[in-house]
Amino acid sequence: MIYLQNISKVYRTRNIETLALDNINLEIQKSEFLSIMGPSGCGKSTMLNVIGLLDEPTDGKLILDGVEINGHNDKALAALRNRKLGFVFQNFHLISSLNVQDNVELPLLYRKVSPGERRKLTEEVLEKVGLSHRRKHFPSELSGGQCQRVAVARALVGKPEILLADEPTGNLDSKMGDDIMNLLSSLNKELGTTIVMVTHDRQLANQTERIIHLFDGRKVN
Amino acid sequence: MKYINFKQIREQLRQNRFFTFLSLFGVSIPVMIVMVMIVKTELYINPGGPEKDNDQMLFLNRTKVRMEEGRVSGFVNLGIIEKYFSEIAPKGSMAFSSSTLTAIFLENEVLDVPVRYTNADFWDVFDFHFVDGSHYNLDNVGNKDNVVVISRNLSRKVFGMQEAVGKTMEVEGGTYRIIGVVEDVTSLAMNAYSEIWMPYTVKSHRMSDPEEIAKAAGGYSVAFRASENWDFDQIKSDVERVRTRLNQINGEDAEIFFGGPAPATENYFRGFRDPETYEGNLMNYLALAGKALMILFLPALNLMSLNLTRIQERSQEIAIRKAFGATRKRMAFQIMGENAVLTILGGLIGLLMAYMVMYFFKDQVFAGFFIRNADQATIQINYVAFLLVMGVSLVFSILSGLIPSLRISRLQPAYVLKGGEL
Repeated sequence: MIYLQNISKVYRTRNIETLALDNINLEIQKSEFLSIMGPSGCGKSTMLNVIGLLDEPTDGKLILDGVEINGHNDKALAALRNRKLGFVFQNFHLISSLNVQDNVELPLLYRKVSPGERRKLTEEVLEKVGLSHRRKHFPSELSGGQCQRVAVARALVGKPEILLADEPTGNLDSKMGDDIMNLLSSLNKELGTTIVMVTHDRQLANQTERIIHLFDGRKVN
Repeated sequence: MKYINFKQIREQLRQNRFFTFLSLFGVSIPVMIVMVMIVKTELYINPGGPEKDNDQMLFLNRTKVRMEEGRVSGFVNLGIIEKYFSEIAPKGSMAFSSSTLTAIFLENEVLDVPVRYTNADFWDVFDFHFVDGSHYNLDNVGNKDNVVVISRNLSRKVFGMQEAVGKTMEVEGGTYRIIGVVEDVTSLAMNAYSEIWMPYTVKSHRMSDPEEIAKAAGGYSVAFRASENWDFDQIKSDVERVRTRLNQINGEDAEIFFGGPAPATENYFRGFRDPETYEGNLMNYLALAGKALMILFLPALNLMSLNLTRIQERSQEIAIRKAFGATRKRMAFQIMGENAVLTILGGLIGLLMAYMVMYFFKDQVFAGFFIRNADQATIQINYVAFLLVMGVSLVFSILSGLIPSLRISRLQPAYVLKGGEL
């Protein structure tokens, strides 16, 4: 499903060059639930961003669902992000000026989906995360756990094949964290969604099928 | 329209009140100023009421005489009008009048009322609407009859709900019979406005010495109405012939110049400029348009910096949208679309403010017009001009959104989501 071949990422400023990813090779199977672990600054989020087409690798080859990502223009990358990928961020990254329903239907806005269909799909996914009664609320009116569930609903509404979660429980207490983790696990099992999760938490990582460790931008065993 | 989410715009405006205020303020104030400027100019040029079809008229209200001992200037001398202009103007196509203020004594009040002395053709040249009775005719004028036409407003003040026609009133020590009542006239109609109109013969004593006439300014303004047989060019050349005749009479002693006859637009730009040196309308038009563009452009610069700040604040949102499939183009259109909505909203507020300013501050707005009773000015908003102003504002607003939008196009979502700035 996802192939990373000799992926490197270098951040350059005027004076400093930082190697964030160093020759990463990785293959992730369809419907796999994989976690990436490592200390802060080891390149976990960078790797997730490269897989999610939110950042370009400096070197190497990325293949998503059989498509080699190389020199794609903005429109093509946007379409791939929209159709194949879903994101869950540590800080939720909901849009404060949109209510729950509008936040969730965001990915559908960039597809040719009728307003009626959008509402229906949004309803379904909000039902799944247990927040259909909050659909008219704004993010500022929700708890952290509820915000993250909205973020998960937004990631899922477009039925992506790959879900990328960057420390999805990092800002939640353990009970809410468990809720979110259970939600991700059930999605993986029931819908066969491929999930790549970045985490610091060994306990959470142990609930996934495979753990990748990164250290100073390199994959370690 | 698919790029504009009105619900989100409303929510953003609500959430970020300070920005909303600054943006709307930045758009509405210049729109208001430009609209007041345009409407004021337009009302001067075409005030409506009896002068509503003044595009068929030429006006002459300025005379200058250059003599060895100095120069004389003023309106037009009655002698010139009666002796020379009456010869060239076909019947019903020349109005001349002179205006002053008079006191009308009521039981408990003294009213300062404008009175206009006119010829009989005045009523043919200008389009008055009679509520009751009729106007005076050539015989009334010739016989110096003490008859007047008054406005509905004055009729109400003096006679209340009673019919005024047939009654008499005291004006300037004489007793006058009211023969007609007209619909109130906007005080911006400078060539026709008054509250009392009467034959000019009851007041004026014409000069008879041609030599005196030929080098005299006076107190009358003249309006010529063009017709098929007497078009603008013909009127101008006939008046020029009169001027030549007058200067032949003057010989070496003096030279007379007329500020016209000119259309209302030229008359506005000409103002009290020297008839000798006036050089046409183009520069005046350009100056007016330049002023309007400048007023609309400066806030656009302000809007641009506000946009940059706003986009800085919304960079996370933009990155999120890109993460979920928004293209650069779509985000750029969204930002510019939101700008357009803000501009339209600000423009409508500006239009409302312009109307309120012109309505409540008539005296100040029309201060430079040398008009009497600004409170009797009829304000009409020019919606075509408003659409034009909105068009220019929209162009500026879209341009002001361009630079921020171009910066968005370079945005790497990962960089912003990690907390980086634009």
